Amino acid sequence: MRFAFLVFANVLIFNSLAVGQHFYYTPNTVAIPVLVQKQDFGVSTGTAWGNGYDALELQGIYSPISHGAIMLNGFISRSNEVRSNRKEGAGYRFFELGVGAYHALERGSASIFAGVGQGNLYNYYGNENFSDFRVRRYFVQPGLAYADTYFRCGLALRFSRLSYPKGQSSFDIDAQELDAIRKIEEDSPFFLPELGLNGGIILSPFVLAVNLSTVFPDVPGLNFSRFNMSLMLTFELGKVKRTRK
Amino acid sequence: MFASLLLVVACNKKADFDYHYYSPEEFATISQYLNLPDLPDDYTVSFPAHLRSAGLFPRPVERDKAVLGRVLFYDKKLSKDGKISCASCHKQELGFGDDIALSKGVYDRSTARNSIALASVSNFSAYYGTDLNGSQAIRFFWDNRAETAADQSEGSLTNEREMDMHMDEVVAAVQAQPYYSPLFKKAFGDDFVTADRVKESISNFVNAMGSYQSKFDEQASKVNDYYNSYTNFSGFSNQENRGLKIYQASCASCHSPIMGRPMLFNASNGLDAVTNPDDRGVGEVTGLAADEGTFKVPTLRNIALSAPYMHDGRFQTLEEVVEFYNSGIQAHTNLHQNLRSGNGSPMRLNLTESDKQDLIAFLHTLTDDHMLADKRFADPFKQ
Repeated sequence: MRFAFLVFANVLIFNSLAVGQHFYYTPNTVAIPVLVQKQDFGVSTGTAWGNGYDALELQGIYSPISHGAIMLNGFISRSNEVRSNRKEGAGYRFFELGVGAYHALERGSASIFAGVGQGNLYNYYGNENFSDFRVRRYFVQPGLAYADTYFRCGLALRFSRLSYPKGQSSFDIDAQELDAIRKIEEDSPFFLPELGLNGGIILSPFVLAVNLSTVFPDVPGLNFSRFNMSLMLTFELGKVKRTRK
Repeated sequence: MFASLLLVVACNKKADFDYHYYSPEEFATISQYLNLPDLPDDYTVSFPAHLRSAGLFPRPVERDKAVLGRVLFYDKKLSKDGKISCASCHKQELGFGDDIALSKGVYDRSTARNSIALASVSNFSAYYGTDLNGSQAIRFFWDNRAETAADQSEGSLTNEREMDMHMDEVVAAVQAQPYYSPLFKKAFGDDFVTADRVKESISNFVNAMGSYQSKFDEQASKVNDYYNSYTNFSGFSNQENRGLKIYQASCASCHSPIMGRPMLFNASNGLDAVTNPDDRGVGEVTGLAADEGTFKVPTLRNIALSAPYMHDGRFQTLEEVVEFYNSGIQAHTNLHQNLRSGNGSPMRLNLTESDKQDLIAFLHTLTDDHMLADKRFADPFKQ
């Protein structure tokens, strides 16, 4: 609980100072689905916050076969605002696709997913100085979700291989930013363990959940936004179908 | 699926980013005339241990102004006949000196004095300029008339024997060239050209010129507190070590034991018994009797490259210089006391032929080949 509070406070504090901040990676919300049977389907949308941004997140999960599922996630933060309107700060768009397996438990499910995501991270520093990176992430993600009638929670670990296949940067930017970019160039790809936690209330067929995602341990000198907190609303079609039966 | 992921994990391709310093349009303009890299060179000066331990430190150099200053330094359009630049008399391969007694300026006019090698300005750059050191400041030109590298640049730009320009002509010449606009923007935030900005930029480039990677420096840095120990160097030949000892005993009191800043600002070394009325040296500038016939005491770094020697280039070889100090010092009124014997008469070193060769061998260890080949200081203009 204390950890969650600290993360929550950290995100709120940093987000209040977020205007004009730059970052070169942030963990999107780790999706921790509850999957029971074939044709279970859920779609989530919500707002996320982190150190230097707020974002729109979209998640979808579908089980086409028993014990098998696919997930699709999207993360969009200030991309047009920064790139097109030349507002100082960072704009990030990221989409990922994963496939996996799950096993229904008495209350909840255990799952493991793997997949790939790609996106674009654009930072504008003012005076026509910018950096623009393609971001790619491969991941493996085991997770465990618990759900009863009105409450749900979950925990997942996401092991990510983060790389920057393409990138460009103005040279005449703040020395600290340039150092971070050069360090990313030198040290990538990165193997990042990420932790996802969630907790929510179930108002069937909707779930309202708070999610916390974090990169751990910290990766100093890279200007990564380490924490992500989101508030997501999920619509679970599978549950609707099961209820109707 | 997992095997594919493992394959991906095993593939460890490094990132390779592109960096932009100039806009594409700016760099296209620059590249028409200049061979400048798309990222600016780093002109940070960092002294080796033996210089730092002696309390020496370099004057900070502003990178973008040094980049601009480099172009100005090599630009022949800043001269009356369009054929002379700073580099015409200060050639990199000669330690930014020249190989003739009196250099050739505009319209083939001869300069008044020998070109001083600039390749070690940063070795003493913190010690010039009244803003830092007042009366203790090291100055420029043989007569010490310029307080700073900026003043020295103006002195040469406007000298009728050298580049023969008025500073407003220099400004106009700079404004007429399209490649200066992006360089001024980077250096000063806008492309407004002024005489002070031109001088400041050349000054930054010259302040970055330093020679501290010679064979002497490599060896001195290995000795703990060389400044106070003066031991033999393990990497020197016996001849070079003997020459080092002769230097420390006979030359260092004026020219510095660690090749840092010279120990004297100006002196008479007894080249002539009486002051040349056509060139009174520092005395012409200060009007002081004690300065009559005295000239700047230069550093001896890269000395093997900057023949001929003395303010008028009268000595063609180091052998002649050594022989002069050995047996030829004249009894000038202002002869410095370091060059007098106990009874006040001019010093005689009484060096043997072997001693002279040893000393010359040592002087050759003061050549910094890194500086001579450093591309950051090379001519940026496309040929």
